[in-house]
Amino acid sequence: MKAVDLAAVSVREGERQLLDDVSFSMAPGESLAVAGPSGAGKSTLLRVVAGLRVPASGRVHLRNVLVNDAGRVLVPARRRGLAMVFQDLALWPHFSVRGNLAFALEASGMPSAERDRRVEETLDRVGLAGFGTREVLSLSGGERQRAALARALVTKPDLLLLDEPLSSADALIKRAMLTLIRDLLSERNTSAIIVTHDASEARALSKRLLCLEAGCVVADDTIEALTKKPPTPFLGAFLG
Amino acid sequence: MHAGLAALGLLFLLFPGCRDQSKDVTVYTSVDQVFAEPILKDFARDGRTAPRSAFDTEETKSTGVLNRIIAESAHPQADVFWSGDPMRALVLVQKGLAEPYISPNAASIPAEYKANDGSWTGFGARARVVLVNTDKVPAARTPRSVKDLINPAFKGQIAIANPLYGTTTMHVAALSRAWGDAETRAFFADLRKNDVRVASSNGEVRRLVASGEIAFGLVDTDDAHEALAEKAHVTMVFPDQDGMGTLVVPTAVVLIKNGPHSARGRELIDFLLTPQVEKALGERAAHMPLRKELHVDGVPDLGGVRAMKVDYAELASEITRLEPWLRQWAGL
Amino acid sequence: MGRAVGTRPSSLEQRAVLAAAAAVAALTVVWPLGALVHGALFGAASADELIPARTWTLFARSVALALGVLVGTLLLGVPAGVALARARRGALRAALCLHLLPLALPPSFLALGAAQLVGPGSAFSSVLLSKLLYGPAGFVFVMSIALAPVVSAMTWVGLASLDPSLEEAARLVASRPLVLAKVLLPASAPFIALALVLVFSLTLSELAVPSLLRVDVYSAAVFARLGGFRASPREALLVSLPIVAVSFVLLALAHRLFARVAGDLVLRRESGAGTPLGPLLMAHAAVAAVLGLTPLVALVARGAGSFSAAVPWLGASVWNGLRAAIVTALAATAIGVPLGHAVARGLRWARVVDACLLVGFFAPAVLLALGVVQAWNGGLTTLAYQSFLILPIGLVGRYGALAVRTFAVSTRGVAEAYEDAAELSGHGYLARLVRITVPLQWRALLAAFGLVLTFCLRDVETSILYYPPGGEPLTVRLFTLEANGSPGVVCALASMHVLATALALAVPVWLVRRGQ
Repeated sequence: MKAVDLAAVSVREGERQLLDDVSFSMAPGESLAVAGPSGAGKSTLLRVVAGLRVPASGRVHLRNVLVNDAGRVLVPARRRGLAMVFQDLALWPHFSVRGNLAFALEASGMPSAERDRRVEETLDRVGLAGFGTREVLSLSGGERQRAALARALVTKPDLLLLDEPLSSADALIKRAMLTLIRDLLSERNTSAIIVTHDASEARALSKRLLCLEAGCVVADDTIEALTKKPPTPFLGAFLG
Repeated sequence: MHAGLAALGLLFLLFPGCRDQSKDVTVYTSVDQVFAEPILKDFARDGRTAPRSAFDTEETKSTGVLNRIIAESAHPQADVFWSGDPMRALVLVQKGLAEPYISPNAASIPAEYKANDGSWTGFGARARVVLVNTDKVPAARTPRSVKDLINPAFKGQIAIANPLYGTTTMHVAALSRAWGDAETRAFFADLRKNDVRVASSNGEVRRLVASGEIAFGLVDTDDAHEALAEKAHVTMVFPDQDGMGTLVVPTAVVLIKNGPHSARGRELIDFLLTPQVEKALGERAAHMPLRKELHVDGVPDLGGVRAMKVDYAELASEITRLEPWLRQWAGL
Repeated sequence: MGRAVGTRPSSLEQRAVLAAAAAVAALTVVWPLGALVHGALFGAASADELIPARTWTLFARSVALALGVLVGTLLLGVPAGVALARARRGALRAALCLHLLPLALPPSFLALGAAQLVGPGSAFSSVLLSKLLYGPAGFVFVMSIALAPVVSAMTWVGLASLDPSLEEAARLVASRPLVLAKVLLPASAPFIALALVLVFSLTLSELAVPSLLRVDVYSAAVFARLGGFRASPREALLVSLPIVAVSFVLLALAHRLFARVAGDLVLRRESGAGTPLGPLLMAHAAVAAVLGLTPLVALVARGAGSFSAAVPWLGASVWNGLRAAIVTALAATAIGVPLGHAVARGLRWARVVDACLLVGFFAPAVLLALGVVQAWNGGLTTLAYQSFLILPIGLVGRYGALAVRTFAVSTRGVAEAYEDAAELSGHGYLARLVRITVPLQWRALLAAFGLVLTFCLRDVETSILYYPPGGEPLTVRLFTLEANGSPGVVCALASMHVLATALALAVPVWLVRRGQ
């Protein structure tokens, strides 16, 4: 079974080709780092997998289920069983920390007692025990990162999408968060796609790297192999 | 809890009210509301429900209840149209929207102010008069004729209401019938040369004259009485008393064809055509009773006024013919 | 983070909600105007159908006057808006809010108030002032006072939505006035531009003020084709086209500016903290408030002795107007939320619906009203036509666009990721709309409601043609009583209208303050 399988996916926006014939697949529990220069189509790729963007052509399978086929949406975003941590975190400011997690679980139809238990358990796991009643806007940067991660993981997704989740975090927070994310992913054997601008982030969370340039896949290999022999100048600079 | 309160609030907003409106007679009127409403309320005194009314006035510059009746003609909503002049009534007659009804109370109305078949019936009338500011115009030079409006001595000191609307349009049509096309157009060209002020309404002409901004202007008798009641330094002149006469503008009622409550509409028309209402209209709005036997203090008797000989039905056709030219004259 | 424009998948739920909103727009704008166009195309032909050369001259004159009003509203409104955004103390802000009051009245009553002030027999009576008032200068003055609140309110909103770091960065290198002129106001330009489009459109379609002040304008040419004895909707439609066309051109220009509005308004701190209101700004705001309030005070003073005489003339008109305005504002907000959201998120056919509603706003009110009569009077809709509901139906067609636009602007300023996150959590469109989009933009929701409420409460030109007999709102009653009615009574009724409107608007304002 493949956790994710993209076959010849293309996305256009007006005259611009955001993704051009992109294909790759991932095994369950595998993590994939995605890198590329700005505007290469990294976020678009995540949005296609998430179901927030309809590709013009190509097929997308999640856990062997066809979810997109040649411009048609067969499974909408909300039924794909995945979660995402957004670049700006996108924590709902009108909910408390607990409210953010509870609302993420609400659509699952879970009984409220179990929901509460799951929320507390997840908060505890990310180190936010006791923060449930706090307003999102009152949290520090690091606490917000943890809250966003907790909101994504509380639904126990099979696939986690991370869109430059640590881009605004300082070095100390980044190190702690990377450890936390890696542990959480391995605990539940969760697959993950991580869009990043930081090679250390990619190395910490994944063994494999997919590089996009101008909407095309220019490299898809282990980080180790790509570091030894970078196929493009961008990757050479990126992997140091 | 909140949703319940919101639903209750919405119900309250949408609640139509307790009164059963299915039997109410509906009247559309272009007679000034300030005069018409008290009279329509009187209709309810004898145990009848007050009519539901839609008002209009030439001053509002709306398209008027006349056009509303025309727009509604496929499914009429009004039972009665009480017009401030016979022209609008005749427009409805010509469009086949009037139901002839000869009210028993119309018997005492002179024949020239009603249609033989009862398609419209006139009562309480206004006249087109010259309102003169006595501070600006010495008694010896008081205008006596409509043609005094083109006297160069009063250049820039005269006003008329926009001739595209209301009784002024009717007045133009009457002048055109009396003088012919060429003379009327020449008169209006001369008005322009004489820097006539074109006001938004007769009421505005009244304000201009009363304030002394201009020397004199054409208005209706009710406007003139309003100025006199305000003790403005003005006098009212019935023009052309030694010539073609003054244009008399009766109010008029029409029963709307296929109106929802025709029987009640007839009742309302009977009521409006009573001498009591005509008298009340005289007292409240300085309208001159058409019935010779009625007299209202402070309001001139129509018998003492030389009225222009006009066929109102002809004027209605004349207005339609003149309107494009009038629009051009007004620069619209 | 890239924003997916136009290609975001829309769910069945969203399509159903938007279809319902589109149906409302269709019933309140497209159907009435369509009925009018149909009647005009297939009705009896009439002569003089082309727009004559003289009316083009009139059009140019009207555009020039409208540009004058734009300048006037900018001069009055922008500084007042800045003062409103800067005022920190509640009492000061409340005092400045008085400047917004003229928006609650039909502009013709400001003209009447001004006439009470400088007309013959008044305290400031003079031939020169009277000549100025009754002419183009008076028209520009009255309309500027009447519509400056639109500009000040939008300037206020624009400044409040700016990122404070923008100002803080500029303050390090420039003086306060320079920061305002070179950074803050240009950054608020999209909001001010939208206000100017509203001002331009409202000025171009205004009829009562120019006729009272004896100024020839183009809207009179439209009316002349409907208000005379020989009404010709076909000619009126034709003559209206330039008004609609110019309004759309201006809107397109404003749209280009709007493309700049982006980012996340939700998380921003309130801007302007710690920047006191300078004396110059304060003085200007005071002048703007006094200018706007003086005609109103003149009205109240004139009506002071006639309040008891005015009460019997009120009838149920206050309730009629208020009820119609509230129902309209609720309905317009209800369609404004999904449509505005969809417009901001780039749904193409939502833009088509938005354009239809804009035609309802830009077209002369009298045309829409006549269309409402032709479309709704008959068949299954007769019952609605005969009831008070016909007022909100026409008013939604006229002012619905304001709610859509307000919510669209607000949505543009809210990151799409909030909704994406909810969608990935399994929430459908409606749940996202109700639980995320609306709570995040509750101020915009109340602003849309308040804006539509205000415009409905001051409306006279739309409802006067089709209000149910016996169910007229106070503005219509004021207008019909103005002819030969006692000036004292009319002024007293107008004062009551201002009071009722201020009270009605106080509710959403109070809710905003409570929320803060």
